[in-house]
Amino acid sequence: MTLIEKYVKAMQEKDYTALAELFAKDGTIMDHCPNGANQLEYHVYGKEAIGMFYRNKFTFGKHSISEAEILSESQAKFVASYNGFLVMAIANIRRTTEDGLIERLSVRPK
Amino acid sequence: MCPDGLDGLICNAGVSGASGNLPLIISLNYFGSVRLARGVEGLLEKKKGCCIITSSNTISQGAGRRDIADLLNNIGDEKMICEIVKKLDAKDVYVGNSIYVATKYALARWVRRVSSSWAARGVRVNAVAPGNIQTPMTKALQGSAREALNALPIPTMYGKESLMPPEQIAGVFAFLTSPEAMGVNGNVMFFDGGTDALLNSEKVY
Repeated sequence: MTLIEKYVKAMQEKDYTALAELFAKDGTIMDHCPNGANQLEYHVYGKEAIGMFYRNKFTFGKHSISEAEILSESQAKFVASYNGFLVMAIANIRRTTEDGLIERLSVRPK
Repeated sequence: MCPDGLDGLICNAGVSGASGNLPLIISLNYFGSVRLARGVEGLLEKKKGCCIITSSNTISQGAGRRDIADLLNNIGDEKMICEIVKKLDAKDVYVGNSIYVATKYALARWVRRVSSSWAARGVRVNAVAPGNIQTPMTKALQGSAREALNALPIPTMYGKESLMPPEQIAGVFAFLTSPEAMGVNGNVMFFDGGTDALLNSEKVY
């Protein structure tokens, strides 16, 4: 399974532990999609923070993805829900470490 | 009582949203604190003391009834507001939480509103917004309320699956009442191990 496939799987299954494990120690997620929903962007720095942040979002039903489609080795598109507001989004793994962990992932509206 | 004045007042009493008694949340959490503080304002002025109101870090998480908070701060009619919340579903934990957060939001805003004139009279007033602390209230939470509690991240307690011990927050209250905090006024001090910074990183001011 590629890294982007693992990312999509973890998000679909709301598996915050698996999601965090994909990231390097100082890996980051930048999600600009909430802007369109008049909500704050997600800028989450560090593997531990990613686990904690998405545990919160998944537990309270504030964020999920569906209709995912892998576009390339580093890109996927999906419908993302932010507190019920739907955005067509593209996730892009921008940088990885030598041992295959995500250093930087961005999510933007398609 | 204390005819020479008061050095400090900490208004800490409150019940959770899971109490099942919405008028009690309104009366105790908001009016209890505000009336007590106003009642001893003169005594605090005598000693140039300080006042600390306990709010909650949940005020930043968007679940509070802002309309109820507006009624509390802007109308302040306890009887009327209690009658309004009586009509809500007290058995719904989300409803209870929304009223709880409303009272804590209103307390924080009350602090910011009165802090200038109180400070001008020599009395500093601040709010502390604790995150999840080990207390009898949090210990009693079960089921979905307990699950929700555990899903609130506390970065300084990472990996411990535990709430912050109460002795940690005692230090914040000690600081705010000390001469070292002379310049701290009208502040809503989050004491939550970094929860708010993680969930609302973009809300700098």
